[in-house]
Amino acid sequence: MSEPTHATTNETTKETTKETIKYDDVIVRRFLAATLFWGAVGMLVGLWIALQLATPRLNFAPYFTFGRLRPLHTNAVIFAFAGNAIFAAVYYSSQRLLKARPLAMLSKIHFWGWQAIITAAAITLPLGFTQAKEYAELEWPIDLAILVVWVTFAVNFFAMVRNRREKHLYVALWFYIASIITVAILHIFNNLVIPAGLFKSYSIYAGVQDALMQWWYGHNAVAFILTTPFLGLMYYFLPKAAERPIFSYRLSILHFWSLVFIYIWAGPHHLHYTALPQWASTLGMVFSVMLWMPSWGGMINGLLTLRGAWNRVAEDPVLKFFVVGITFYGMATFEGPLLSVKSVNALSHYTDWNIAHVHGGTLGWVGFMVFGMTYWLVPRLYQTKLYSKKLATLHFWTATVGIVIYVVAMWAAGITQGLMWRAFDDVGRLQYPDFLETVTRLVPMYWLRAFGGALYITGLGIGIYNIIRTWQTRPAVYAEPEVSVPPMIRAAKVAEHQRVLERAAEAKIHWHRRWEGMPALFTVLVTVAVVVASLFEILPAFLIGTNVPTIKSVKPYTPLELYGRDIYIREGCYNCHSQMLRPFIDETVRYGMNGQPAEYSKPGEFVYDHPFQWGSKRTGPDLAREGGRRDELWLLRHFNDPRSTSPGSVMPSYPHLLTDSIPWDVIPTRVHVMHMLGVPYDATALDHADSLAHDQAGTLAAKLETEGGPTGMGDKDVIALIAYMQRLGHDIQLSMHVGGGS
Amino acid sequence: MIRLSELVSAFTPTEYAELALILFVAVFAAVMFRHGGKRRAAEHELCARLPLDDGDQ
Repeated sequence: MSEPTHATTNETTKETTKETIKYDDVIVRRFLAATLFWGAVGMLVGLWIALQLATPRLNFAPYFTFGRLRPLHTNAVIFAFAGNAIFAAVYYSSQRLLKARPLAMLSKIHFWGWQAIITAAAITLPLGFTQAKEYAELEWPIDLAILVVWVTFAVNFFAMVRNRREKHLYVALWFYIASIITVAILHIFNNLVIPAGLFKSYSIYAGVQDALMQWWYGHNAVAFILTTPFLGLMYYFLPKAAERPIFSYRLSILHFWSLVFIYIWAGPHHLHYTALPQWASTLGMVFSVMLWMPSWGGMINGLLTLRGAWNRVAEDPVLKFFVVGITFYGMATFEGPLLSVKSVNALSHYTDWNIAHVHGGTLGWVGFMVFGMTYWLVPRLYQTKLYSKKLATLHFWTATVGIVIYVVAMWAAGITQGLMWRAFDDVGRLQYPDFLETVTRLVPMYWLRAFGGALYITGLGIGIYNIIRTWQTRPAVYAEPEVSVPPMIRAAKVAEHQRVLERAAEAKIHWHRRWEGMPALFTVLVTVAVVVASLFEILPAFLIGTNVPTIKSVKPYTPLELYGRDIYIREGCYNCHSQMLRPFIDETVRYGMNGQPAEYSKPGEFVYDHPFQWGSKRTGPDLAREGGRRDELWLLRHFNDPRSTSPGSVMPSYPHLLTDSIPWDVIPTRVHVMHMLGVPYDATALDHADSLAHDQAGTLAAKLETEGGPTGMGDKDVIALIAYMQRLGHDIQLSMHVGGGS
Repeated sequence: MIRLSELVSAFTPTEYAELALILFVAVFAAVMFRHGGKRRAAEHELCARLPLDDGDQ
């Protein structure tokens, strides 16, 4: 775009040198089909694990337990469903906004590479290969593949930007650029690990610092995968569907810069009242509350785009999906800041309220924006009429009712859970001292949630049927969309472009406009905004020693405990159990022992925890002070069949732990890798890790037998897991000596 | 030569938080100053129409 005064000159140039290009919609069709396929897979896995919580008989160990399937669900819906949808949106809209075609070979590598990554995730996660960091579970070889494919995508996108015929970068493209850059940064820094095998690694960060990195990543994955690309999608597809421009372009600029600047700071709100230093937690809360304003600016901008077109919403399923999707964006971005307020978070954290919040955002905002876009794209991509508008409307209503049931059930479950945990009776005792009471109370709500989810998936099924029927009426050969475009800006001489910019500068054209004409500078500025904000939060946490005071009684795990910890990670126990006692009286009392309240968790306890295992949800009780609370036989029976020790428990059974043998040969490697990461193992541990592990296993197995347990457990996985469980909180029960940071 | 940890430790975490807020307010004010008024209305109007003029149906 240029100033009106220059338009005539440019127009003349354009008319004399017009070219035609063909848009590549093959890649869009592929990504859209993958979106629907993986969406169905990811959501069906979600329904399955929802049912597992209502009835644990649906767990089939070892591969199909809740702990292993839940990461598969989250990864599938985030990276496969939302990811493929983002790519479809980016390739469709960017070609048209930039008037440039992507590079065919890179598009192919991008598409097939991404599908291979998703397939690898679908295989490795049920096998128990995991880094145990939420939404970053995939092990290092897959992480490397993600990096390669993401860079391929970035190169393909920026090649379109470079070869564009439209000087101005429309606001949707800014959101795409911010997403591409930030996701790369987040992915690289959160996944820095040292491999300890082909599918086993340890995070280079430990404890508090690992937690900060993880939730810097986790929160911003929500921001830059589930929010900003979909805002780009909204800014492009909503005006197209409404056939009117976005309500306020000015507001979109404010929306973009505020969001990019603020979002990156908000991660620590996932760690309120944990061992994270309070300054970081408060900073996260303040920025989260600030985030409400730009988010609602975006929502208002979206909804007001429909001014004068509201009558069409009643009859157009595309607009219906968009309106409700944007409304869910508003609801989720109100609820997010609310949950980040410490006093609210004290109640909500670790409960199903978070699950309600997340699904309001993903099913409502992400899902509905994807469906709106899909119904708008399908007739254009398949060059035919939509098979049935009625079915699309049915899809909309089924899914809407499904979300409402889902979210209300989880709100009720979360608030019930939070209130029960903290309830005291008249004489000051916990009203529900048995954690199981707070679990069994929720089971009816888990059934209701599964029903709501099933409705949503039914809606998706209707949608897929409708699209398949539409696809069946496609032409034998697709016509390639061809447009007449001005010459490539690069080809139309950099000098000419420079002259335009100079004239713009002389005419005091807005500085932002000039940045937009200079994508490289624009990209650098976005990167600076993201990196500076990240460093402000991360560097002090890593480099100011007083953030993590050392506790002298805290020692490294023994080789057997380390392997037991790896089993805890492999089985995904962190999906349901936290290891973080918050400084609340109800928590210290609940998890105390022998009538004494427990110590709340301290930063120095976790200095050898690569990765941290604080968890984000308590479907089961916290385990930070579990060591010594039960004897070995109780633990063995609990792992074998949780309902034999805890009637009503929804935990899966792990009978394979009693039959699978410990692979002793991997233990020395793992101890050495931990040592490389700075864990102070002495020469004995380094040189004789396996024999130390054997000795401890033998001692524990003998103890198990004296307790009346089975024989022959000394070389089974269960003994290592028992060793780890008995270690939890053990060091902090010793006298504490707090020294300066070291 | 001063170490990075010494440099970072020269400020308290609270000061980092305050600086962050000041930075945000400055960026926000700058964007508002440039885009808040009506003088860019025509330009914004033009930009807003880009998806509608992209040659697609």
